Amino acid sequence: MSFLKSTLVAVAFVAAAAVVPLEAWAQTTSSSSSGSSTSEGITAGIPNPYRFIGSTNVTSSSRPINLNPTGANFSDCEQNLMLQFPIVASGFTGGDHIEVWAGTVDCRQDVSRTGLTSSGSQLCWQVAASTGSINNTLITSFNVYVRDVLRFENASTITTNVSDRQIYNPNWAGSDQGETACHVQSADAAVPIDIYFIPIASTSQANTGATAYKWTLNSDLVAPAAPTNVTIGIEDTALQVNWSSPGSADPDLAGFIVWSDPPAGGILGGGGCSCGSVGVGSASSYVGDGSVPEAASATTQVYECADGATFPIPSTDQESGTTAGDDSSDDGAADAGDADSSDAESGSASGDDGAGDDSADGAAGDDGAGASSDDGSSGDDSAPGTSDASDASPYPGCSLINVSIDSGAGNCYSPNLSAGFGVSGTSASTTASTGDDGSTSDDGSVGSTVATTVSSTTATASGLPGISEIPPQFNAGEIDSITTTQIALGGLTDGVNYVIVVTSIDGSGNVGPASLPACGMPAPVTDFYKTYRQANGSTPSGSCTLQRTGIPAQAPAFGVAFVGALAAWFRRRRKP
Amino acid sequence: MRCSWRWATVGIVISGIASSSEAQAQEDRAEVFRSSHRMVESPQHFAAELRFSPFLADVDSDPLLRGQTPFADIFGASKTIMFSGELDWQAVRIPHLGTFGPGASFGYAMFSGNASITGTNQASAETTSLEIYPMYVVGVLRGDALWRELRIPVVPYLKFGVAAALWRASNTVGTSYYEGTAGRGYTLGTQLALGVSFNLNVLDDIAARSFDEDVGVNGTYIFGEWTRADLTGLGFQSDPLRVGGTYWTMGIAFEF
Repeated sequence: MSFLKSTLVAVAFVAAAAVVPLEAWAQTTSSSSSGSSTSEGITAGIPNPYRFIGSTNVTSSSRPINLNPTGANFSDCEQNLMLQFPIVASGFTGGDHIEVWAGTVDCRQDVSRTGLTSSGSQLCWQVAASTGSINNTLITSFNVYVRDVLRFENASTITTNVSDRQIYNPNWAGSDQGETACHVQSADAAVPIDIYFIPIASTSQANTGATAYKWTLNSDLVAPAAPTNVTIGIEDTALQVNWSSPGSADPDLAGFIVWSDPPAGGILGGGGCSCGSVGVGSASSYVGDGSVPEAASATTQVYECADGATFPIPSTDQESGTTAGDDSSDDGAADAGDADSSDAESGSASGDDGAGDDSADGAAGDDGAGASSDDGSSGDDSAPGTSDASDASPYPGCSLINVSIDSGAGNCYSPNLSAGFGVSGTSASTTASTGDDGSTSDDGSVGSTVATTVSSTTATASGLPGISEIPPQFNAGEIDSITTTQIALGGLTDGVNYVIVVTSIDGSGNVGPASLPACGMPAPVTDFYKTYRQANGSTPSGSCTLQRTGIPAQAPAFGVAFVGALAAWFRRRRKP
Repeated sequence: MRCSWRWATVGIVISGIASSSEAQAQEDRAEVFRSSHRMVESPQHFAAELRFSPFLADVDSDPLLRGQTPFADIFGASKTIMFSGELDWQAVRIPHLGTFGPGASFGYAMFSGNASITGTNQASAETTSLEIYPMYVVGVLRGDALWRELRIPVVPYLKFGVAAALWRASNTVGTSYYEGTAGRGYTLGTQLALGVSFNLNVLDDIAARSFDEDVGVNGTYIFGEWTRADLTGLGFQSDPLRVGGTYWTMGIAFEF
């Protein structure tokens, strides 16, 4: 029975391979080799490879179709995503084998794999171990780590690491250095990188006339800029959040995520809202480590980089906190919040509680996005929590500075949401605020309301690879539209201050840095009828009757009858 | 406002007369064309109106409010456009005067604003609205003798009758409630309107006759009307929500 099952699987696999990517059959190599068969061909059993985080198959729980589910975003890279390609090799003779190369040029060309050009043009690099000699047919799987595919995308690194490029190192992706591959891009746009499965002769030359298989990985590691001008409107047990889109600065902006602390729909734990009770903010400064004390004129230290970006001081506490916050990644992914070490990722891979949404994955990511300035050098670069004692600064090129924190009364700040400020934007002004003094309360309920308007400039610089790492439990709502810039958060509690930030999400599911926060306190409202009745002091006659009969049912009926009578008459075309 | 309306009426009359002369010339020129067509005017028994009225409800005129202005506080002083339709039956023709008969109308208007945060004058982000469905039954006297006998394309008219309006106050959740009472009801009252119609047939008599032959419309009018909807209970209701008002109405009418 087992043999029969295996046979059927094999037959099905070969049959599928025969009909899948026709494109692959056209990937004929064009270099010279001798002694090899031109009937050699490589095909894949499925259109797209399986996706694994550690040992967990996350293929079916990938992002929604509009968020590049088969590609790679920053979070995928941070989680050391592995692509598994079922491959069928057939017609092999002469001891040829299969090599797997990636690049943005045609890797079937021998010169693309062996060339030593220093012109800066892209070449190819090996991304998986080669097979041994193949006789006739081979059905196997290749495991390709996204980090290996991304590693040499940057032209400056590929020309200075020739040996690394041409010799595959199976341990690199999972090493500390492997995380540097997640920072090779600087612009927020998808970059296609081709992965080639090429029949190679023993002479290291591609087999002329053989058919290689090519699959393209669309990668996007840079998140969109933060929304601006976040404002809050007060409603009864609800808040209306408005913001401005970062606009044309982002080529693949896909939507927005609104974050709320305390979480919308309930108050969890102690909450982190440090809104002042009076909505008059004067200035706000934020650092991304969530450890800012809520004391006026406090001072803390952050790392400032050459480009002006600032990052928090890495700490063990912060790292563990981030890891815990990521446990609700919906795809079962490993700890996306851990930007650096593979051991930490595997340690939290089973933490999925399903609370987050797909696109929120990207939210858990870069520990401060410090790697935006990562030059790929050795050592821990953007890795809070894996601090390298030998490094003077965990952020290459950055130095420690003192930052004044204005977090006095009226400040709108949440340590829980500050994790989204992993990029520059550590100082910004609160430009407007409205609110009453909370002194009146006619019904004994909440009388203090705050509506603080905050605008941001520095936190919204485009192209910054800051990825929000706000814990998913603070995700209050997501808008899969770039034109919708308003959302109403319901299920809130009157009289409770809520800190709201908004992040952008791009077409690959990357969640960008948070906007500057705005605070709002839901409060009871008085609508027209209540206002009228309180002023009038009586019940308008006629109410009871209509309450029984119902207006909406009667009123339209009257109108329809009127229009119908007109229409019926006009249809009576009179011909004298 | 009343003065400007007077001048507008005079303008319409003058232009109508001028257009009438021009139309007469057109009729002469079209005599050959007409000769090949039947000249029988279709019967005329009804008039239909599409009406547009900048409208502000008289809610704050309730004396029990003692000067408070809940309506203005929420919805402001900006008028909304009331859309309505009216169908009149020209049941009786009075020689050398015009027609008289009953008419009925149904309309819709909505006011929307932001609810205030309780205990403050600060507007919240929550929307509150008042929908009004005004309707009335009136007697309509149309003095179309000017047009029919003197070819002056002006038809003054008078309407008077009883009115009612259904209304509904709502918020983002739905119908508003206060102390268990739903914010919806009706208000009775009277309806009075004085207006002037301008007969557009004079602008293109051939087209007008063709319109009559094809659809049966004898006359097409634009009109302006002063309207008073005195929805204060009609003596049957005590302290109803005053959703009537005094307003101007513009529109287009068809006689058929």
